[in-house]
Amino acid sequence: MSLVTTTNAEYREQLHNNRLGLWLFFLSEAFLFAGLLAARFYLWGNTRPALNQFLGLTVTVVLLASSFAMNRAETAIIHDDRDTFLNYLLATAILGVIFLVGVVGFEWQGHIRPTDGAYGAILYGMTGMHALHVLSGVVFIFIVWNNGRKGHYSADRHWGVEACAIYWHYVDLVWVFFYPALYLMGHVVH
Amino acid sequence: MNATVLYLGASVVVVSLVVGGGITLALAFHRLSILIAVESDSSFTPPTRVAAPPTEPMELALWKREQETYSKARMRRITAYRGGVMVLLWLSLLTAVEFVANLIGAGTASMFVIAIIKAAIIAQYFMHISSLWLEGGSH
Repeated sequence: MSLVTTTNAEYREQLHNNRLGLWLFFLSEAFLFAGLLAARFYLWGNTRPALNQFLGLTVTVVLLASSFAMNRAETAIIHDDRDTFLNYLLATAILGVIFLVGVVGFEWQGHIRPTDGAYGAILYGMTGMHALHVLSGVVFIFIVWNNGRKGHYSADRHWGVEACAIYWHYVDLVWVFFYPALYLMGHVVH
Repeated sequence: MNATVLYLGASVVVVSLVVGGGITLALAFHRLSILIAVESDSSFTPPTRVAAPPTEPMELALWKREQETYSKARMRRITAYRGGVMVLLWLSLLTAVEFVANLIGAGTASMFVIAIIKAAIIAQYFMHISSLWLEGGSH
């Protein structure tokens, strides 16, 4: 969007186009993640490796909490509550980093290696691709937080915040499907 | 105590912690948000606190209108915050149900159904997917 002041009607039209573009991007990403999910069911069938259930549940709860914090931040800027917006944005980023530490720092140090055939390939492929999106989401959050600190957003115009929030919720949405597929579905065999 | 009983007991504890922890976290965020909203309400300039409302009719009417606007905006904000807390509670509950369903041997289909419900809640209440086709949008 141009930095030149636009009329409200022009801004609303641009906003609608921006949203549509973002959702089309999500559709393309959905094919990527759906492909990984399909590979999981094709290669693992009704089996799954023995993963740390407590860790899986913990990182899931952390990601849900981060989605809540992001929603709170977005709601705050809609109501022009700048302090709450900045604080909860930081909280979201911190929770995202905790999620990454849980997956990369702990789950990846388990007994399954990337070279362990189909189980290793799918586990690292799915969690790795998702973790990359979480990492990029955290970077996005810090950029938005810095812009918010400088006063770039208002209750009427905060597309950057909305885009960041929707992207973060999308990352959470992907994990909603990945978590049961990796940790819950099928019999433990490996 | 055999392994199955131990495992079931540990699972119950974990699920209770998740649900209890989720509820506690939601309540804590709720209280914190009210506290922050009250203490740092920087978006609004509250009416100048005076010992008594002004007596002059015009000033009194203006003062009352300012109080009402401030109060309504604050209530709208709190209601919006509360909505987010409710969504978090529902997502936590469904996650707990999903975990327990796995323990009791529920099939893949039921896991997918729960995941789809969670995804729908996130898509509508967090991602505002309906703003794509509704007039006005969120802002």
